[in-house]
Amino acid sequence: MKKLFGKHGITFAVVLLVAGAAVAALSFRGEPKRRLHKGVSQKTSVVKPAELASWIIEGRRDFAIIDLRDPDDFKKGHVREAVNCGHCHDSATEGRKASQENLFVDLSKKLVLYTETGEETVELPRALTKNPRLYTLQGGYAGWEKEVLAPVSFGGETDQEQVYAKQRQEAVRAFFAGERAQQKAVLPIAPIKRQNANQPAGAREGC
Amino acid sequence: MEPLAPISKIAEWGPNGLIVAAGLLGVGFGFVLERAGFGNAKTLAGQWYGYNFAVLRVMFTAIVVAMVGLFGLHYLGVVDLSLVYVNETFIWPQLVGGLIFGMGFAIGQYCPGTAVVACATGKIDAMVFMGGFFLGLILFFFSYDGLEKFYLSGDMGRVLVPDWLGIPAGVVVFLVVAIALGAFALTHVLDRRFAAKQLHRSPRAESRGEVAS
Repeated sequence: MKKLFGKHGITFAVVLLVAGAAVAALSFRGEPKRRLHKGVSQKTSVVKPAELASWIIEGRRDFAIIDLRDPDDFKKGHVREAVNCGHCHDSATEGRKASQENLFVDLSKKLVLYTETGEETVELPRALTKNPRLYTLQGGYAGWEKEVLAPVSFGGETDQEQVYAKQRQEAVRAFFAGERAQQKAVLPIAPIKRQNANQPAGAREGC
Repeated sequence: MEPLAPISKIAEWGPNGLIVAAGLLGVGFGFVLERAGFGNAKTLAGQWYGYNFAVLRVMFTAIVVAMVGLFGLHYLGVVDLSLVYVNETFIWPQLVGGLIFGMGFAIGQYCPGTAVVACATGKIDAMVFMGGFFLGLILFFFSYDGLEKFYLSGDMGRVLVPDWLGIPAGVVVFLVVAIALGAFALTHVLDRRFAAKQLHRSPRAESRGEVAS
């Protein structure tokens, strides 16, 4: 052995071999459990409900949404286009089966994950942990319901910007609820008076 | 246990913090390379001509120590490996790129890191090598439009050997450690044989009567 590794090399070789064997043994216990938000804690990896809503409305195709809640909760309601995690598979056979059932998720895309509140500890499927572009939905499904699906209450707007913001919010809510948007915006601003009452209507200023 | 690393992702240092950390790590890495003798083309050439395998042993040691540490800490929950950036695989351009890189290494006897280290210590051959390095970059820049299709071909995404082979990562770690130990033993024997041959050929050794008969 001395001839092969030298005097101090034997100790190093033995330590390395034992450490390698220990890692191999640890790997058979499976992947360590990860807390969802700690695992993807970069600021860039959190998407707000309103932002996700705009991605869906814009028809972007560079992301997939994965619902990590129980299948029963998923059936009661979920983010549009989301796929329940019960259909995320490591095995190619199961993946093909899911693909045939039109439940296939392209894991090479940007993945948006959500739980009920966004605070639960979830063991992520191994197939998902491989993706370096994981996003979490801020506030989970509860946040989605509160910010996107909740009815918009009109009244009390003090300027045009607030009116536009509420109208946008209502349009987004209606889009996801599959309804027509309400037209209840109140404009508390006085009608704009013409500067020159003598000028005939429709005349172009500055011509 | 919550993961503590990679620190740059968990602690959210921001771009300035990352640049400072990268600078410090780069200087430290360069210093170690220089002290290990890798700022000298003759040392690096030794592995190609079979008279000095120090480069192989040092680099392989660095790889296996980092690998065992990284995967060991991952399984203990200290490091979150999914947050560690891994280059995506574009198999065909990377194979061709590897061949070009190897040719450059064999001709110039430097790789980019060791060339920078050698430049820092004033080696003229390394400065010429770096000149060629930048010339290649400029050529690539101007020919990119024609190369783009090939450059992006063979996209396999983020692939690791354990996923590709379908075996636990720990088993791959153990196999690489075993291969490294085999390489250390083999190169140690080769180095001893080469040293004995040199002793045999040395006229000074002959005059001292040290030549083995």
